[in-house]
Amino acid sequence: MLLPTAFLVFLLLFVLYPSIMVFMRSFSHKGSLGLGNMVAFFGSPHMVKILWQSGAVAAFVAVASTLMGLCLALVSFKTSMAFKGLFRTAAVVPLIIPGFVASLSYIFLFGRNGLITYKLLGLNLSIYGWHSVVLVQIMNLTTTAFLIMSAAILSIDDQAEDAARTLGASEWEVFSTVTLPLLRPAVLASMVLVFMKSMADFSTPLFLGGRFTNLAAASYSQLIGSYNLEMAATMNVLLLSVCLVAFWVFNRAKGAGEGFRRSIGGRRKDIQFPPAMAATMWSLSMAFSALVYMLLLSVFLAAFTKHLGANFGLTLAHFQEGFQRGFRGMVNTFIFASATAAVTAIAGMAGAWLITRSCTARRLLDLLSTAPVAVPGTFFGVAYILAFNRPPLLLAGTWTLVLILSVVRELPLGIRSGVSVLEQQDRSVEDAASTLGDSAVGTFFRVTLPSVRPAMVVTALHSFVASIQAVGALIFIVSPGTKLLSIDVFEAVYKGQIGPAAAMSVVMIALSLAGIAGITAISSKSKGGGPSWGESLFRRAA
Amino acid sequence: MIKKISIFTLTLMVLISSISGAFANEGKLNMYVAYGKPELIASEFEKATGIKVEFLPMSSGEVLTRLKAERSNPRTDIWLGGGSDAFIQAKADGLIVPYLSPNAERVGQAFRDPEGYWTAVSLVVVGLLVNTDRAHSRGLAVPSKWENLADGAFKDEIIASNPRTSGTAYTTVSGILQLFGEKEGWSYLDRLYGNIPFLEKSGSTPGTKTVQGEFTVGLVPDPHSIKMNNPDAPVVTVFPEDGVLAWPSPVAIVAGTKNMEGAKKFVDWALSPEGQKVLMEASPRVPATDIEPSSGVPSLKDLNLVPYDHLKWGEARDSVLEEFGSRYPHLN
Repeated sequence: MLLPTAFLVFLLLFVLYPSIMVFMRSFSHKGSLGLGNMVAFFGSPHMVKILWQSGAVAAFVAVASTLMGLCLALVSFKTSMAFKGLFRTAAVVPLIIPGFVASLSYIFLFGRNGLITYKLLGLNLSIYGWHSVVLVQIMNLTTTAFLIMSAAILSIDDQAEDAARTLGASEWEVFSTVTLPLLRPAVLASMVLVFMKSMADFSTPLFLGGRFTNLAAASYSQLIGSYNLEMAATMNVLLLSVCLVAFWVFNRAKGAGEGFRRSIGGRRKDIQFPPAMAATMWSLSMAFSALVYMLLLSVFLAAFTKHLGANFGLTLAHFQEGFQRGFRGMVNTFIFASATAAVTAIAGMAGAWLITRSCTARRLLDLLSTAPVAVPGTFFGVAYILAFNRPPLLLAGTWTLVLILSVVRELPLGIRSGVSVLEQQDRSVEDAASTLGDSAVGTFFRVTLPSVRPAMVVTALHSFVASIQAVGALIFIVSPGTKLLSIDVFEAVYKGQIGPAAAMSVVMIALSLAGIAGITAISSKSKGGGPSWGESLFRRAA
Repeated sequence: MIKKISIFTLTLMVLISSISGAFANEGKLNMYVAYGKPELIASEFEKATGIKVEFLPMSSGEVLTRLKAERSNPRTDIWLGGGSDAFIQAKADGLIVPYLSPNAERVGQAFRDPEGYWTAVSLVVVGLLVNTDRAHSRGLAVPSKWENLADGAFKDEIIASNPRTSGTAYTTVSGILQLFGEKEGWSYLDRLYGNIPFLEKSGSTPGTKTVQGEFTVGLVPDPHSIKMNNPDAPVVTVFPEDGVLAWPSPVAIVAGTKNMEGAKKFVDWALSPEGQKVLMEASPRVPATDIEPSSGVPSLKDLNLVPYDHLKWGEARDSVLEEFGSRYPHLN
């Protein structure tokens, strides 16, 4: 009884309460309660335009990223095409490049003065607009789609496909009538997740949008530039509403298609795609990978050369400057990311166990702990400012709050992946252990825990990498005592200190890789050869 | 169940607030800072006085937003840097408290609050950053006056920020109105903004994009410091000879500070010759006191400064922005 109550209280305090504060602020207009802010928003054609164009861009990016992710995952796991290892790596690289650094590199390569567009091809493009935002978001968010698609593809047992082949289906029929329908839930999950991430992304429109802006960027400007908390809260309420609608549509669509049973860890057999389709898929993967590697390369180039594009003399001055300014942020980031990873992994499994195995308030727990998936980062940022700057919960500016926020953001993944394992595992295994005389605690540690371990590792990995990169929600709540590397990089990019920003990004990339290696090493040592980090990432629950 | 939950909530609250309370350090000074190299400022101040400073860099708009949100429990004692407009608003909202430092006499009267709510430590100068490579390849001469920028040859070659969200941009717009008069000023702005394809949301990104060669001219704050940050970039700085716009970058003590003594020491230090030298090193700005600027930094007497009325344009902000929005709706 103690554990579920504690969990519930935590979620009520750090998910529900701050959200309510945002709603309250958005409905208080110039000191009195009412719909004044909403009227102001919908009365301005400019604001209404921002609303629909955010949705349009996010919908487009959702479809395009999902197709790209599907394409990359199929090429990686269902074919033996050339360079597929290269493609597979490219698909996850955006995970470790901060989004705003990608925007900067994109300008360097494809801008009005871009290395490729202008200096090589002599083109004079006006790149600032929604199309560039779309392109860079597709690149960043394809990783999300790819991970979901990969997990789904890896969990399809090829017996189903073989059965179709035996019955005389062509390779194309196998793909279109067996494989693709099995991937349907993953396609939907990917679309809704990418849609929400695109809606919540403010840094890409900030750097590349030109006249285009989305709700997240506009609310960021409202908060940072115009000091308007009420309008920022209103925009975030709308942002949340759009995301909830997307989620509702997703749930409706998903419900209709779930009538099959997937088996975990089946063998994989290649599908022979028709030549034209195979060629298209390969070319798309190649184009995507080329773009990703070029952006990655230009980050390193900017970090080690004197002035990107004008002076290619080698230098370490940017690292010197970066370390001088960002060293504390680096140390903080490492400790903070490790703590987030550990807490999220443990709390996620505990939550999953509560939801699947016991407890009266399980539905509420499930809802509250998974809800943050549908909540954009800026919403949480504003919510935490509003909720934790006043008694009784004076937490603003403390590490406690920074840690809580990132745990709340990552918890849905931890709980979902735990639940998906525990739901598949027959409860009779645990019953057997207790019948044989094991205590409840013993059963948990000896039976339940080992089976959810892979899910915990994936959760830890994802939380670690995500909290190293995190800016969206955290930028609003960090304070003098809580400096983070990602925020330092964001500031440097903003101020045009391209070299130091790139150098600090390289450090960020190194930290991510070190953390991934570390967590993988710890987890495989205790088991003796667990899944590789890549594989566990791919297997993360859709 | 309800009772249990409420007991738990209470325990958790007490626990968390006692943990966060334990981390609050007594003699320490907290600073929100919209100034370059805050780590240098903090360490030099600690060397001079023995007081440790924790800082968080952010824009002045963000400082203001935060101070409003944290009114009941300010997480900071000092606010250093940003635009005087934000300080004027903070004074009106009761977010800062007056302190007349003995060193404030060294600062010109135009650059400090008469009651001592805020005092300038340096000046932010609006100027032009010109990418010579791009100017050359486009056959454009390096501009020297405001009038040059209104020439049709600069179409889509100028980048600036949005006056709604950037102090630089608002100072430019209102300063032009002050310099040329309202009627003449708007007709000039019509031509100037006809050459600007879109507006950046932050005051500093036009500098980034001019350095990257995306545009020929960037309307930026402190162009000389961008040049110094990127010594190998093909850019030059221009201060229009027919009138330079500038605004004070102040320091102030936050209302509700938990360390008033330390905060006063910081203000004294920031306006002292030693502190001014450190601030100059931290951010190569035109100094507000009479110390000699470091190399590369223009001196106050070399700039044809427009006598800009901060109070008037601070109050006129809404109406100027409204006029701006109705004249250039496409620039949002």
